Amino acid sequence: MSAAGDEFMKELWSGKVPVQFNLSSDSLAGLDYERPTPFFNLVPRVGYLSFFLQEVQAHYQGAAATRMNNKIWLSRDEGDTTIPIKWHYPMGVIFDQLMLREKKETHEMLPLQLSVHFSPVKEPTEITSLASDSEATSLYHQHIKQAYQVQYNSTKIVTNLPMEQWRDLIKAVKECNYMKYANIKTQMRKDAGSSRIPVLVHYNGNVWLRAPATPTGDECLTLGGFLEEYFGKDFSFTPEQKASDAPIDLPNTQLLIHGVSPPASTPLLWLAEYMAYPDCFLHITIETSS
Amino acid sequence: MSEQSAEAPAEKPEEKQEEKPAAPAAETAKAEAPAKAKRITVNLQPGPEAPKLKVSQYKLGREQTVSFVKGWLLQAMKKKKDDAVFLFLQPGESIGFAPSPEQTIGDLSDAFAPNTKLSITYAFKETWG
Repeated sequence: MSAAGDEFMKELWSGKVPVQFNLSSDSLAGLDYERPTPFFNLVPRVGYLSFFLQEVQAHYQGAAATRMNNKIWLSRDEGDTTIPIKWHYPMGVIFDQLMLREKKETHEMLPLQLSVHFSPVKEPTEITSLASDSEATSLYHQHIKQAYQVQYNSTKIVTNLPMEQWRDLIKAVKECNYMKYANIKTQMRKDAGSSRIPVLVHYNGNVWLRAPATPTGDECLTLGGFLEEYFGKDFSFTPEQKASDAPIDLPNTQLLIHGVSPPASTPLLWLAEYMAYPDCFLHITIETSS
Repeated sequence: MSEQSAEAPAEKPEEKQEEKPAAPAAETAKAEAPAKAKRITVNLQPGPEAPKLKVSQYKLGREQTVSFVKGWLLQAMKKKKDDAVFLFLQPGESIGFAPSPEQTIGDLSDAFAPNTKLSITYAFKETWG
């Protein structure tokens, strides 16, 4: 990557979300127990809430009932609804989704209020409660392997990484240190290049995996083209809109990648290279209002 | 190590009616593209130390999720709802990966086993890397 590209990436990776972790009422030890002070932290947009697990556990160790296991999960509580947080996805993706769903401006969302639960999550569930940092790391491990399976039809590049390099990669992801991460990533490519682009579309709260073929030669698959092909019901662009440099702006559909709406003319390959998260997926958040 | 052959529960996965969100549709379907199969043949294989199912092949709706399959397996093996179950996809000769709970059978099939049965390995202990 060029020096300008590196600077862009470092800037992108420096974004953080201030989060306020509040202990949920169902996790308090007893009725006369005073509600403990919340735990605040800055969570990087490209980072994971699950990597803050140990700090959260340590902060609430005294308050949460000792009879409960140490497996915790997070939720976003809006009125009467408790929405479990899918913390196997990066912070930025979760934040963008909440902001679009709750139809709020950024400043209205901060600090992001999340509830910490030490009580078991109600099964069946689509989230994983975690007890340890190694469990959190394992979730990331599975994701990056899946991304490589999409790109290279094999997880070998990830699984063949020497243990020391794997540890360095995890450390770089936890610290959100782009240069350290990029150093290891450059060794994790096949000369032939990837055959498909791993995309995860967070569409109205559901997650859809799409793996368009990597364009070759003169082909160019744009973001607009991708959206029309896979989500044509919600995305239909005029030729002018498709070629425009203006952010995507549709009446009933909102789209965010890293908190911004890129133009429809943006090449998908460019987005995959510059705006993929540390798990190697390009995450796109879409909310429709009908 | 005894190998138990588990009875499939009376309620087969394809019979369970669940409100699942439909995948967003592409209005402009390409005329040449074959219609996607509405039901995917899934082959459930036991992993290390996992008991075999009496019936290993099922047809699941595209919208069924990984967490649904996990819940069904726990029921089939008469385990508790909050017991651990691990699913693994090993396409080709890949070491494989564990898909996320909310991922759908349809998406996994399209991406990793198009036009063929989707093989999923299950275990009740996390024995893979």
